[in-house]
Amino acid sequence: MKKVKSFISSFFINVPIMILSITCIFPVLWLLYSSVKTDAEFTISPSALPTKIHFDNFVNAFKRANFGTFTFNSLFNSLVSLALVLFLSFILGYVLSRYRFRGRNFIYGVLMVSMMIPVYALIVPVFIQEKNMGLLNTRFALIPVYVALELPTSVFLVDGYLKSISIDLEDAASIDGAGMLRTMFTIMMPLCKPILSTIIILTFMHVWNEFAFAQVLLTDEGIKTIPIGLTYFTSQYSTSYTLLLSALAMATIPVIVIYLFFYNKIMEGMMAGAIKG
Amino acid sequence: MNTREIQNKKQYIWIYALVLIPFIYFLIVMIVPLGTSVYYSLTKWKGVGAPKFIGLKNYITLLKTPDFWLVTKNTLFLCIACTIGQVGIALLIAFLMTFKKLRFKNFHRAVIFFPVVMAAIVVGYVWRFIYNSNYGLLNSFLTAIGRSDWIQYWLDDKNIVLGMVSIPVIWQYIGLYMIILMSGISAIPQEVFECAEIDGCTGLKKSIYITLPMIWDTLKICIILCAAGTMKIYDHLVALTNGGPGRATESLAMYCYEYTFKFGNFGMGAAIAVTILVFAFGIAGIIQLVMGGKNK
Amino acid sequence: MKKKLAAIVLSAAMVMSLCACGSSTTAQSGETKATSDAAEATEETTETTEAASEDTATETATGLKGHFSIYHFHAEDESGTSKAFWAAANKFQEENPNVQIDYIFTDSNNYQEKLTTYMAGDELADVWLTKGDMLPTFADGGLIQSADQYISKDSDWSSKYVEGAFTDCTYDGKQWGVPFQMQANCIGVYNQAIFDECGIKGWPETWTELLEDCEKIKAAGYTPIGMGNKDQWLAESAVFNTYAYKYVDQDWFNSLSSNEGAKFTDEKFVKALAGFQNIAQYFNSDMNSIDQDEMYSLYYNKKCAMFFNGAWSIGTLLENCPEDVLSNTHVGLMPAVEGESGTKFDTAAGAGWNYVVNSKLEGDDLTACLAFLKAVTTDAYADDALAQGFISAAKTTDTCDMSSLKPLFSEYYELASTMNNCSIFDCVLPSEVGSGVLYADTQQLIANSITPEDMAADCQSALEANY
Repeated sequence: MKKVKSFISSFFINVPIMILSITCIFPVLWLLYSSVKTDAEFTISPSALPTKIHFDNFVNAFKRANFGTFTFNSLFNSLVSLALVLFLSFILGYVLSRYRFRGRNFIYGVLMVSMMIPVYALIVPVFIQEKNMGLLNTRFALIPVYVALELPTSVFLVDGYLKSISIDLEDAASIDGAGMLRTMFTIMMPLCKPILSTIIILTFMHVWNEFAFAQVLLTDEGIKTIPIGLTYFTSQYSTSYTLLLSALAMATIPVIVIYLFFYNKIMEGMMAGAIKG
Repeated sequence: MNTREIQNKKQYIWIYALVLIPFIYFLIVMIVPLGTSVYYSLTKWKGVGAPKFIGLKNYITLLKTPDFWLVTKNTLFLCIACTIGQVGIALLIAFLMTFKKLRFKNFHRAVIFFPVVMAAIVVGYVWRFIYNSNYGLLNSFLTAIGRSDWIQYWLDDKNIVLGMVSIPVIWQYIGLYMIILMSGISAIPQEVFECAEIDGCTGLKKSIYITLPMIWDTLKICIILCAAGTMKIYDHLVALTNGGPGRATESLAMYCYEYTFKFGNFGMGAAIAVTILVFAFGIAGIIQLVMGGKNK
Repeated sequence: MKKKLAAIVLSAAMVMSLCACGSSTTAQSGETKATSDAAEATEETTETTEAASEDTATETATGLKGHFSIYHFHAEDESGTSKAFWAAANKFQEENPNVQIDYIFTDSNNYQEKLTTYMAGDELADVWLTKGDMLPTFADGGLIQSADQYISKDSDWSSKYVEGAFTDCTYDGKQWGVPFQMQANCIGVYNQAIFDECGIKGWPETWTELLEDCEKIKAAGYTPIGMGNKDQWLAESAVFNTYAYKYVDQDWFNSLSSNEGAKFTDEKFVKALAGFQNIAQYFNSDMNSIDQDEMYSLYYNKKCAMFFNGAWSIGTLLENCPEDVLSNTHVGLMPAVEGESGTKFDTAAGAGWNYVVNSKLEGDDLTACLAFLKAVTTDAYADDALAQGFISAAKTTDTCDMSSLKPLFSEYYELASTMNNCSIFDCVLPSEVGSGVLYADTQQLIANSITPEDMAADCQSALEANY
């Protein structure tokens, strides 16, 4: 009887998640096999398997979307923004979660509400602001915006994570005479690895895929980013879907790599939970 | 609770320095443009010349437009449905990830995140195969199991379409909240679990009485992130239905975009953005209230 | 520990200095940007000059010099009007090595967004593409100069366009733009094989015949008329617009758009809406959730017998349609409705988009720019566009080889010459109405969730709010 019961419970635990996981693979497969079809095949049936595999779609897409240059630009934007976001959000998150001081709730409120502003409301004002500051259409046009866009989310993540970690360790450190900065960076930062990994994944993904600002703030071919390249397959009356999809497949790879790499860091944190106190 | 005392004046200065530098930067880059937007919302401006101040006229027009209320209703529905769906399911999965009975954990973890990185256009395509009323998977499945009476025009019927578009959005972002919650779980000391298990607290009980309280703050953040994310939902609706039929699946963000860029009516577009902000205040307040105040 | 700390402080300092760097660049603003721009521009020109000098050096140079930027949506792909544009533009560049052109490309889906932002930020290019509904804003704001003052001076230029090419860019008595295409927004495309199978002789001449034919096609198990209205413009702009002209005429529309008496709530227009709602029963059931391309795929897969769409669909068909369907494909005009004033020749058609010139452009730059616009809209461009399956706004040259045109396109070309071109609603009406209410309500109309009377009233009140 017990065996049956345990079988049933393990059935209800495993099967739904398995189904969910399988549905999650399907879009990846669809993207991969559709990206090697011809446009004519694709329009006849977007869901059918390809009859012949056209790897040259990838080559054509790479050229047409100017991926060589754009990948570099996207990486540059993503990595610089990422470094700044990590650094700033850790400081802000740490201080906000650990200390009570005047103006704290105000900062909290501003950060929270600013997460809900649709980007389209900001585009025109930001455009004008960057124009006045001379940042428009330069290599550094996007980074300040991206850092500001990603900051609130990251601050909240750090803040929430630290709240669940007790302060004993820090108190011990300060009794040992460690200053605030030292406690923050040498004691707490390593403990925050799982959440910092999460922030890396999220920020990288958002910045890598960001389109609305990149589209408006940049006009120079030399500094545009990958999401803009993805629009190069659309002309006035037609879209080359298969090229678009092969470009999308290529554009997704770095995000998946970052995810899988940093995900393991989160998992290490989960395994190593025992050392925390 | 987990807060530390500020010991001396020097520390005070440090704290303000550390907080204010990033925050002032943030104010300049985000809040100043937002302020500009609020100003535009009080003007009539087609993008040429100087904006003409007209007071609250845009808001009055907006509140009198039935479409605005429809779009607001849609957005709030999506916001609630997606928050409950995404965070709820993600929480459940995060719990299950701590169970011994769950097999292939690594596989699930890796795969459930895949949709998160997929472009909205891909998700839109895939789900439109499922929903298509003629050759879609869902209707084929219903025919196969002999329930053809359940067949619906999933994306063409304006009474059900909103629920239908919320499903792909929920499905896509489960992975995102799953990893955030799991990073929260990773902060829980292992011995807490061990002690609990020795006391006979396993399975669902362990999740509810041990795990949940310990990740409460992370959960709150997930809910805030999720509500914030769906308040500005745009790409998915464009890819799935483009707001149709009529305006049955149009969101406030789409409405804002339409006025600002399609109609070139910057004043009205900004007014819509400001109302989104007002709703955001409300939602943030409700979340704070329900999930426990800032002193937690 | 100490080392680590030092490293952290150092990295912090670096970040700060980076921020500082950012702001100092800000201070120098204009200069730095200008120089870097200039540097890049020179680089570009040297490249092009070199390319040109490879064949005939500078003797061919026309003496034109100048520098202007153009904001456009012509992707560098191998299809349609873009191909013709790039062929003409590259040729121009070769012949005029001293003219510097900065191309600013944005795909057509995102074009409008960037254009409005440029406008609001006062950063408009020297030349850009615009649709008729934006024209009043640009013209009234003094942002553009009328093109006709230059075109009419140059008889060699003005004589090159077909009749009616400038209708869409006329505002306030002036012609502001330079058109580059001339398309019917609605043409019937049908599969003769399915028609034969259903016992239909040919393309219907009257609306009653069309309805009867649809009934027969439906009985045979096909979708009579394909419709892919997910993006909301297809049903309104490419089908209903022309259908409405079977009931109302150009004068009515002119009166409507300039607020001189005609109203959406006029009986004729409401009747048109009701008629359109009636034909929607012959559309595929997922008409509002599939897009234009999925509608094509219904047609390619012989699931639907016909569809109505703009003439651009012919270029797409020629490229993607399977041979067995294509060989049975023909085109026809939307039939007239008996008892109503419109004829089958009345079709919503026009240039749609036009090049407009920034009012700040002057001197050599302006001269160069005008020469460029002439080159990318007339002569070889016209022939080239035709070969791609598109009719340009300019007349073709005598040397154009009409026999090389694809049969389907020649068929359309014949029809197009018989059409009575009427204004496209969404190119003329303010966008809140033309591409706002009208789109959304038409979608509901064909889904049967709004009555013709309500829709008419809705459109009228939106229009009144935007006069």
